[in-house]
Amino acid sequence: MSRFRRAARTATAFAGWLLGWAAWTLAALVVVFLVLDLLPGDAASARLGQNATPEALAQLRAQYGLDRPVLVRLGEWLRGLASGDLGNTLLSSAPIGPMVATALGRTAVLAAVAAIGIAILGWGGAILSGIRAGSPLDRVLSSTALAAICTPEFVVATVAVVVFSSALGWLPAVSLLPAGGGVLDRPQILVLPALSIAIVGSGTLMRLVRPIVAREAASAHVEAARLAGLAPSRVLVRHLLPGALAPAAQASAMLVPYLIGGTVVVERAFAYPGLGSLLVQAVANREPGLLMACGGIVIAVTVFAYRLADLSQTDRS
Amino acid sequence: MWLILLVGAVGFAFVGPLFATGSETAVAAGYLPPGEGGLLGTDGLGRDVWQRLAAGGAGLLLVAALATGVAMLVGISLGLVLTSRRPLARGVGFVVDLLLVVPSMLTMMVLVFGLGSGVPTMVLVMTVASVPFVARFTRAAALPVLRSDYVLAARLGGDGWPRVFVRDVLPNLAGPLLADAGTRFIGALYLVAAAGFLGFSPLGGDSDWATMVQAGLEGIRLNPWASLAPALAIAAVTVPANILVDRAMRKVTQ
Repeated sequence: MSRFRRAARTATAFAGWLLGWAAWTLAALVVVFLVLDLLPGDAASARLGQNATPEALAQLRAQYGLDRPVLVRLGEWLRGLASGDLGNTLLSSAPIGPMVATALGRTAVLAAVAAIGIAILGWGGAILSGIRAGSPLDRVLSSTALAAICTPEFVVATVAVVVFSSALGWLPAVSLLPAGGGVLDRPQILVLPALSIAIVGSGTLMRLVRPIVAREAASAHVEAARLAGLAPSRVLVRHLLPGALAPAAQASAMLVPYLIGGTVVVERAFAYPGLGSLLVQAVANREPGLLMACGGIVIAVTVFAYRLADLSQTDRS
Repeated sequence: MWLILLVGAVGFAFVGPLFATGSETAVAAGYLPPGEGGLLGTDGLGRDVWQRLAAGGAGLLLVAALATGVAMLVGISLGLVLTSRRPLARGVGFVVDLLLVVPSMLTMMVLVFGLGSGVPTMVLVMTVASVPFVARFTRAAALPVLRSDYVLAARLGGDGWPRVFVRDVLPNLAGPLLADAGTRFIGALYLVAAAGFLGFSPLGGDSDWATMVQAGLEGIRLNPWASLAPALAIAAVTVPANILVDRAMRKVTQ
């Protein structure tokens, strides 16, 4: 009985959590929609540019359906979202939904590979330098991370291309997809983009997690385990890491918004046909529907990560 | 040592435009490697990369500095408002928390979409992106000062809050706030450079370091320096700046 009740409570909490996530995402989306409408530039004025007469503007706005009240358009967009129809692009009338779905799949693969790299480099570096705070290794790793954090991803990407592609000829400089194939048919195109994201991201992660590991390493129970003569690896796995896990997971979730920016830039650097490239294209071509769709995914992921961070925090207390 | 590198890179960026008079004229064929076409070769349009490198840094740094200044001013003011417990301050606090959730890259995309990619847009992007951090930092640093005896004395002496903030609180926060401004400057440079690289340069044209990196990528096999030189120049500013700011930050928060 009590087990059933606990399961029910967990399910309710989970449902509430999901509901909160959806509500926050939706609220942020509505705000972005309204801000976009409030700003002076829209698809019509950007397309006509210098030679925009009021008549031509009005005509193009009517053609794009931008002349209707903003709340009507918002309602229409939300209805479309609920039924899975994200509309068409203005320029080529291509359906946005499938376009975004394909790009999202590719970006998800890239992000997954980059996340593995970040986890290994960032957590590994944090543990190596945190368990012996102040040691020469700690100082080297910490300054490397510090230098990596503030280097823009496209600088790392450029250096990586020159070294691994131009000089050594190991990897392609441009992420060309095989005709009709997916990213996984040519996995070598993932290496340099993922590496560029991982170098910058793992620096940030290491900076966030290192103090947590260092604090845990200096705590009384870890000290006691060490003095009891347990092997260092056993102390690390059984006594040190469990305490560091929750705050470190929270720190990892805080990384997500940085990674989104980095992915956009890196995709552009390698002409990787993912969500970031699509987002840049949406802004360059002034496609509001495309921007809303890509932005919606970005917001949904960010809010998800932040709420996850909140969750691990409440679990700890 | 880091200071020398930083001063050297920034000095180069500001002195460079004075002698880079021929940075926009084509001197040779496109993407010639170093040696055949000047010190660092030529870019895709046959322009001298060394000259363009000298000309392309100042604008980027100035926009980042301007954006930092505006963002700090707004952020500090909001941070001081947040020290109050009035309902208005709580409302401001809620908005600040909301902004924290939006990735700065998305803020940039939305604002460039609606406003175009000029210098004012970049300043606004930077302000929106960093105000939450500056405001929270200012609030945290100001609260202990506000509880001090001399603030109480000034209040009893009949000074209003604005006067107390300017005369008694801010001078005490100068160190931490300067260090924070350093962090924000690196963030601003990062954002401005990312914007230029994505094709939304706030300066227009193609003559800043970030846009040069992007433009040179297509010819990177022929003359890698067309991209590599401006990329390294950006790193030569951000890396030493970050290391110095980190040291300063540690000193003031101790």
